Amino acid sequence: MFKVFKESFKLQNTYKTNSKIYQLKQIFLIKKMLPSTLYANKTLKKIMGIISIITEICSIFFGKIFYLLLLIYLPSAYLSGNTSTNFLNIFFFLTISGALCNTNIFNPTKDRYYAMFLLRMDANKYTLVNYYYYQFKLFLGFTSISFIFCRLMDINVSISLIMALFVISCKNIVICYDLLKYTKTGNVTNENAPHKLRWVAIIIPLVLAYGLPIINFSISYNLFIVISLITILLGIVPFIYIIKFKQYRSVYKLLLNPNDMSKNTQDLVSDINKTTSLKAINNSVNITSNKVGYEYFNDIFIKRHSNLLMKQVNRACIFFIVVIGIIIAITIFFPLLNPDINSAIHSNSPIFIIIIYYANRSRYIISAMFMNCDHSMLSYRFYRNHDVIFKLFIVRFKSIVKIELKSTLILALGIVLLLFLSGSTTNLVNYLLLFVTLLTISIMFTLHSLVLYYLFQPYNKNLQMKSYIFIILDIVTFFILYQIAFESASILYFSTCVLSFSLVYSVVAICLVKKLAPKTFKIRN
Amino acid sequence: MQLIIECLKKSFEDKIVLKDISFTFEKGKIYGLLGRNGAGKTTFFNCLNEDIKSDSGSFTIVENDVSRKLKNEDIGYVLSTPVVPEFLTAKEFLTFFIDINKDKINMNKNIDEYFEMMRIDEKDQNKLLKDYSHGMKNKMQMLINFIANPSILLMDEPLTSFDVVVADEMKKLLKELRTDHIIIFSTHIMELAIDLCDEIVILNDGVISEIDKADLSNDEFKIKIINQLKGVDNV
Repeated sequence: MFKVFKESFKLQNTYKTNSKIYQLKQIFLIKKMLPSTLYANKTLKKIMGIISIITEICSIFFGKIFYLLLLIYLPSAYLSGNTSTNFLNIFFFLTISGALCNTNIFNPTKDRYYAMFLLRMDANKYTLVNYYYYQFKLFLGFTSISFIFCRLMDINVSISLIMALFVISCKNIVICYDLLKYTKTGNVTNENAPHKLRWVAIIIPLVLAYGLPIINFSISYNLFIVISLITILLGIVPFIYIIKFKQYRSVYKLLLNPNDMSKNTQDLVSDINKTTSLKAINNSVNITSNKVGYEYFNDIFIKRHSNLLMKQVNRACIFFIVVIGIIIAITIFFPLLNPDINSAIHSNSPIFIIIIYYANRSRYIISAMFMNCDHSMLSYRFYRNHDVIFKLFIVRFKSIVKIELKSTLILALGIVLLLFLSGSTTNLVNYLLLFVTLLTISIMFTLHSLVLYYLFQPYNKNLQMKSYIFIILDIVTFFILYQIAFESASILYFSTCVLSFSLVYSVVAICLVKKLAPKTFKIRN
Repeated sequence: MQLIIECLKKSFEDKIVLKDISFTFEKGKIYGLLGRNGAGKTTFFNCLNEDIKSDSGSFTIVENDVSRKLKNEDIGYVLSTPVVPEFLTAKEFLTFFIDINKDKINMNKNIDEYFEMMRIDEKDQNKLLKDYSHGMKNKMQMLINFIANPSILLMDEPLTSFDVVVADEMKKLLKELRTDHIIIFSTHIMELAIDLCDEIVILNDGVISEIDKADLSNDEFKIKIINQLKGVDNV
């Protein structure tokens, strides 16, 4: 058994060490300075190995500190009633919840796959050795850290021992139940993906943990001890069952899918992105288009993604209709508020920038364009032709604007109507200016998103966002808009600024796309 | 027509993958590109197709004694993992492709005949490409490249996902196509390379070199190739 533990620890430590080196190589700027031979560097491996061991030791205690402090002690102190009974109540129910979703044994980790299936280690021994180690860590962590909390709350410190054993026993009972279920049904559930009934069983104790103290009904100190001791005694038989169980290899055959295990994290993320994006495609083959060339191509794309695209826009439309409808009702039924509403529209129109920014879904449309279209098409050289890139840019711009204008049109008409109902305006041009400006803002957001996409195409072939500049520009855009949105400005001033800026921006952006996109619009390495 | 590659270099971080490659490919031949795992065959294709930027080097086309730079339309690339627009049906993809390239391509068949050529039946023609198998996607990718008829065809392990019947037909088709094309064909199946290709080139240690079959039998030629790939001098 000790030999298996030694091999298992060595394997896990190597895995963790290499993961740490890998993480180091992913850090922006640092990665360029690091050679590809880093994994062969023995000194670095030793340092990383030591760091892994230190992290492992720290995790025994720090994890428990954070758990007991943030999830149990602080809420106990914050909630009404006695802190110590609240503490025991939350601990008791969270332990039940935790046992149902975190047993360690039903967590299909890669190191288990490597050990049991690639290195052909004895599955029973490997599982049990790791489980003993896991229980040891739980016992050590909970006994020592809960000891401190018990002292802090003037609870008998021997409770800390009961708390640790209670945690272990709860997990043993759940594991035993799941193993019995496996022997009867042949099914086993990955603990990271619980089924519906298990979710209910997890959530109920979670609600009781915090809900009972809220209604001043925490379980008493004595009741906690009695139930915990009974659970500890009841946990002995399941523990024996777990030790005697001989079918761990079959259990893990079900839990560890070789397809998932053979992939690295990047490939798994890529798979998830790919699956999600493919789900967005409408499966109907009856969709047609009477357009030709790139218009046809784009039209089919939009139609096959109409569920995804229109759902978001329709939500924005409903939101605007409801909100504007409420404000219109206020103007009718509470006319005293009309001057305030009128003044708000007159002097705070920049706020619409941020509202339209949130309502604009062009970034999502563009993301779908990459995932389900450009990702594959960019491998064809004809698709990277200068003229083709610009032509498709224009076609896409028009089609996204059409989609986006639906919600902005509702907003613009609504605001103009509100302006009229709340007391009109001295200058009738304001109606037109406000209407045109709001539509322009929407068009500009679409243009901006598309320009950023074409100039900084941020995705790699694994469908992962890889451009820091793209992310930074997105954040900077939001920050600038946020600053502008809360400035006061008259409709005339605001509209003049927006329309002039839009004109200049459009010309510059379109010229940049025409000139630079043939070089920038490609799949990142 | 010749494709002249001069001083092509490509590194990833401190790993040199392509080390000063200079080679001339000629029209009318199928080149079998062999190399060990990780030798850089796909990188070589990606550089030629400008999917990735080369560190240095030039690609020149020489036609009727006139030299010019390699253009987009000169190259067709059949990737080992086929990529097709998955929101379209096969028929829609082909319609779109023919439509946008109608001025450039010489259509000697109609859409149905093209599908027939690749053994894609009517039911599959109207299926979304996202529901296609790997082999079927590969057929579509190949078909697009055949229709576009570029003068240079890069094929990264293209036949491995086909069933034996289609693979055999593809081989015949490639042999027919070779007269007007430069076909560079990467594979790990030596028998296929020897059977199909006119020249065998190997990518070893970042350098491309041609292996002369001379009067060797197929078995002797295989041994020669393996020795070259191992980096052992020919016995």
